[in-house]
Amino acid sequence: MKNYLLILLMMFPLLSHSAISRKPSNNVLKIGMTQEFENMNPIIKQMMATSYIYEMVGRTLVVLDEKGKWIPQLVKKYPTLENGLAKMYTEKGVKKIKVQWEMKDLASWGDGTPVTGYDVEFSHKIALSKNISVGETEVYAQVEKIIVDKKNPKKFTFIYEKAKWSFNQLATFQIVPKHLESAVFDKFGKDKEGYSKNSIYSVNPTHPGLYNGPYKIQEIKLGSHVTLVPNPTFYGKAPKIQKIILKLIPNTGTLEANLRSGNIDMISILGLTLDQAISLDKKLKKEKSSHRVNFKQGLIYEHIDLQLSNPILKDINVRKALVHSINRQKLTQALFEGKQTPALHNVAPIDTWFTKDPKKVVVYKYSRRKAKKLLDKAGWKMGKDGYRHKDGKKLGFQLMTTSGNKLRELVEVYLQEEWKKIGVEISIKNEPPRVYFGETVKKSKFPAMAMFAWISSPENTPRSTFHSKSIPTDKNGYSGQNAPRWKNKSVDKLIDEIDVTFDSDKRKELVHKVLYHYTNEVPVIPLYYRSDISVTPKNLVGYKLTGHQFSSGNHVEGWELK
Amino acid sequence: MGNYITRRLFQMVLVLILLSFVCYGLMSLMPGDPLDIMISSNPKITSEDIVRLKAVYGLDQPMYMRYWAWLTDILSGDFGYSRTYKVPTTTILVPRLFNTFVLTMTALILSLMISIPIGIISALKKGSKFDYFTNLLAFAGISIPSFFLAIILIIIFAVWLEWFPAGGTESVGEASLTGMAYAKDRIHYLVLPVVSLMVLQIGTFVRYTRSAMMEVLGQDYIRTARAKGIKQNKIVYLHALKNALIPLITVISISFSFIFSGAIITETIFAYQGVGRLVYDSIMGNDYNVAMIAFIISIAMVLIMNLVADILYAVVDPRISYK
Repeated sequence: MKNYLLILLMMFPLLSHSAISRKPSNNVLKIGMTQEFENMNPIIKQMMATSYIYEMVGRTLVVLDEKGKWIPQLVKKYPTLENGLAKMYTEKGVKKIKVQWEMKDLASWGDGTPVTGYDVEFSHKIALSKNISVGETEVYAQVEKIIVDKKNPKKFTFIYEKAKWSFNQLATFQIVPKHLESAVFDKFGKDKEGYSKNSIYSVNPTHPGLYNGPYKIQEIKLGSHVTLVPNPTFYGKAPKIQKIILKLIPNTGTLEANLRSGNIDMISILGLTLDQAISLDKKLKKEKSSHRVNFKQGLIYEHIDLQLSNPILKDINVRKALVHSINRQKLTQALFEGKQTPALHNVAPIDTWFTKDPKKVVVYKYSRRKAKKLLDKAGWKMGKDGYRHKDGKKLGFQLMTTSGNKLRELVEVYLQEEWKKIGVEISIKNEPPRVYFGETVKKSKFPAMAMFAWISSPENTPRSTFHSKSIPTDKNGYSGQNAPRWKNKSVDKLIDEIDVTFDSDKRKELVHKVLYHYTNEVPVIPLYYRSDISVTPKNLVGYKLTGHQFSSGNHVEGWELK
Repeated sequence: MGNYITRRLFQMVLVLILLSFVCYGLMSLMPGDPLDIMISSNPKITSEDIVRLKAVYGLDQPMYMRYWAWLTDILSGDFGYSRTYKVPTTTILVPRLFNTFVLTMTALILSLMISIPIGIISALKKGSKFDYFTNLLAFAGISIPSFFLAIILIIIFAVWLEWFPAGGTESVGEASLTGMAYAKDRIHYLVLPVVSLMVLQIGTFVRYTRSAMMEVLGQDYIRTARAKGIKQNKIVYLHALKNALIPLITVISISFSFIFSGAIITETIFAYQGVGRLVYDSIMGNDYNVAMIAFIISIAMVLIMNLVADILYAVVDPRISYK
């Protein structure tokens, strides 16, 4: 028996290294993902996996491409002030914007009905209904009125409530078919969630008329899979892959086994964790496998919020010392093998607003000597126990993050060691995500340091995270995400100015001024920008990771298995 | 007996209502809400959005009012709407309950069919090589962590030998299967998760059967039966097994109580669309309608199986009677 067990244990690594040599063809591509998806109604969807799938079957007016450029999808042209499709005017003293849109001639729903301004007008009405659970409504609410050209319903005009520079960034403005959904909304729209329950997306999700993208849904089983087949009425290039099956595999640990056994051909961005991806990448390269692991720097910003109401952290010298003493380059190299980039501030390098110019932002080079000097200056003297003391008090902080997140726990240990070297004691307290985000971070209850990430989009005004009005308090019902409680009047003013600055260069200048204050005052310790990860067959061409929330599904018609 | 059953059924309804209130209350007391978590991860979601969403979901109401609304809806036959999946609760729950039932019932029945004879033989051949070997396997089955066994099974039978799929419930993307072809396909996907569940169950049932049988086989009436020259088979199956059944009924009824509760680890690792993972996600997502229906079914199953066990005790042992 003992011998059998020994043999089995010896075989284990061999089995897990069974090389992948399958090459999927254009007949079918099976994609694995670990996150659940919901009803495909684009207006009420909230899950990331649903967005990932929906981008293959439905299109919006405009979208951000993989290069970070805004491009038209359903419409002929991307409207700007420069090309004359958007015009500013003043009404009763309020600056407003009027935007002309025109749908592509061939843009139609899967049942052949053209996509028109009436669909857009109807979707706007649904999204702003009080009885429907739409997550983010600002994108719809900013549009005061939609006027459809009766002679040519492909043409329509948006009248915006206020003139804001980001008026044309409407990738989350979703459209549903009026010819199918209006009867449902008229009948059930007055009841709470009546429309959501009875929408055709809920009761007959394979109806071709619900989708206007390159694919349509052939089969959907919540909690299991979605099967997509080409949509013959798609306005663009006909997709090459004849069937895409998106399978839910909830356990990240078995994704690799599913890939090796041929149960899936590809792992989506909603799959492997970074440590798993790094390990699989090495194995696949060693095996000279038919698959590759793709990494792309993303917008997700991992950082530590500092509690500025903490009497020790109120001292800017202490905060600067903490940043100076972290070797972020070494951290990302040691823990992520350089697959994630050290962060300087909240704006990621793939964002057009990014800068690392030391004239514009304060760049903290790793220097333990500088850190020690700053702490000495702040009055914290090194004691015999290896920690610093002041007025009989030890220099120490509590570092918090989400429990069960292996990578974050590793980062905590790394930081604990780094800060110990300059005489700062770190105690770790982690909480389940639900408690951590629902209570501790939301109500800014952490005593000193809270590590987590912000999911952002390019050119995102940091109003909810930097503006002093966004400090969560009992009075404002804990609205806003300025958890460090950072107050800077100049930053508040700059943020207000950014919203109404239409000149992109000038806007960038204002953003850089905000970043200067942010990096100079250190309300937050930047750590690293997370990367998007996927595993694809090497014979898949035309696939591009985007690094932002509008995924590779937006160019799925260009995928081909050669 | 009739009065006893009626009384127990009445008690069951009271316990069910009481526990449903406790479960609802506990879910409400959990700190944080997924809606609050949304605001932490997406800077574009405003606090006004959260206030509006809470009103749509009724989360702005006190707990007792929400519970009352839920209870009256349930009693009127409206099982509600899943906040997570945005479909009626029954649409998501019923197929999952069926899948879990198929998985756990198959594993349970097969485990009983294998473990009871092995337990009996082991008790009859106490101290033999067979007994030692059976004990070793039973302890191994009880001790091996289910996630580890599941991964081993996937590596050997899905990755290496490619006999069975690594995960899923049925073939997808193929032309719709019907009749025997469909049954064969489902069985193909069931094998690994069923084996993974059976290993633990067989170990447990073998140990119970063996100890119950050994205790009975040492009783005076068995010795008397042997002295009277009654055949071994008759002694074992008529006299010994019948008396050994009482502790087994308890264990088996407890096992049957959980057939709708799901096997969360097995279901997750094998990407099997059962109810276990769904309930976990529903609790974490405060998806009250889905979680509460699953709770009610689980509680009801425990109560029903307890009643069934009590009735069976009386059937197996005439000395037990209920008034």
